[in-house]
Amino acid sequence: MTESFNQVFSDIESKLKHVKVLNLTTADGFPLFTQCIDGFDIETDKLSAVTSSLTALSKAAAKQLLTSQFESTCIETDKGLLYMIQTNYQDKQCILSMLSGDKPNLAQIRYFMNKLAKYIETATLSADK
Amino acid sequence: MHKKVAFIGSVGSGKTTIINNLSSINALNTDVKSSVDIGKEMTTVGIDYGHIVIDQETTLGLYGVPGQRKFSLIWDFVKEGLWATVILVKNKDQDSLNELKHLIDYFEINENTLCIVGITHVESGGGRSTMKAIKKLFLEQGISPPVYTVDARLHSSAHLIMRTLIAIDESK
Ligand SMILES: Nc1nc2c(ncn2[C@@H]2O[C@H](COP(=O)(O)OP(=O)(O)O)[C@@H](O)[C@H]2O)c(=O)[nH]1
Ligand SMILES: [Mg+2]
Repeated sequence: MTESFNQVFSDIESKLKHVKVLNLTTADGFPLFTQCIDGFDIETDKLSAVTSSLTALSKAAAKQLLTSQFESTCIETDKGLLYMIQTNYQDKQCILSMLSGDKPNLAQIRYFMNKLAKYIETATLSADK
Repeated sequence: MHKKVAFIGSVGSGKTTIINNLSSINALNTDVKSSVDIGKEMTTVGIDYGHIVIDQETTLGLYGVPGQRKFSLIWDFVKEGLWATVILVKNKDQDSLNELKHLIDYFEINENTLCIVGITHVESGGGRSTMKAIKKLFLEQGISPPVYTVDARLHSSAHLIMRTLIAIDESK
């Protein structure tokens, strides 16, 4: 199935309020796809590097302290959150991340991100709009 | 006292290897498969952390950073409160040399910093031209840290670097 990353984002944006950015990055921090809402700007390279570092650290913590399988990381702030989840895209280990603003609903975001991470494992995405 | 040592240097210079080798605990590892050709399979994206007990009073925390500049988030928290910095340079590797100036600036290495440089990937008796280039580059910055060749994979060689650091600190 081929869908553009932009379509996937639009779909999410219509269901989740306050989503600002959706990003897919290789585990070593190279951005594959990024979509932002209009008027929001983010340094993609930085977002990718940061999600890559944080995921690797979370994974190491999960292994050493919880002795269980890592799934996702979430950073909550007073104004929003950054949610990161592991996925595979075309046989590469990747990280899917979402940045959300005002009063995000974590349960909802977790649900959608889990679903999307699974979808991406079988999808072929294109960058065109 | 717990002293913080940073291991910095370009990708593939041996930071992860030397920390794994030196650490008396299972080192924290955050290497992932590289998706681009960097001359090796795995690359560090988080932090390497290891630990050595020197004597009853002293332990060293060993912090290795990712070599790629885009991970400067990690560099920022490793550079705080350092006791010493170990800079690794890959022998005969221009990229590794080119990165030196940037690292000296970023980690604010100056004549008062406890710092040692290790040239890795050296065949026996080699490394002379790299050593010369490194010394010249540091001298241009007004600094002259000791430069040694080291095999990051060898326990004895890695330990010699740490013992030298301690000796330099004590002689100050
Ligand atoms: N020949 C040789 N190989 C080394 C030396 N140090 C590291 N290596 C190898 O170089 C590769 C990259 O090392 P790594 O520790 O991942 O580099 P990092 O990117 O600085 O963390 C590994 O395959 C090591 O086994 C060395 O001193 N000599
Ligand atoms: Mg490394």
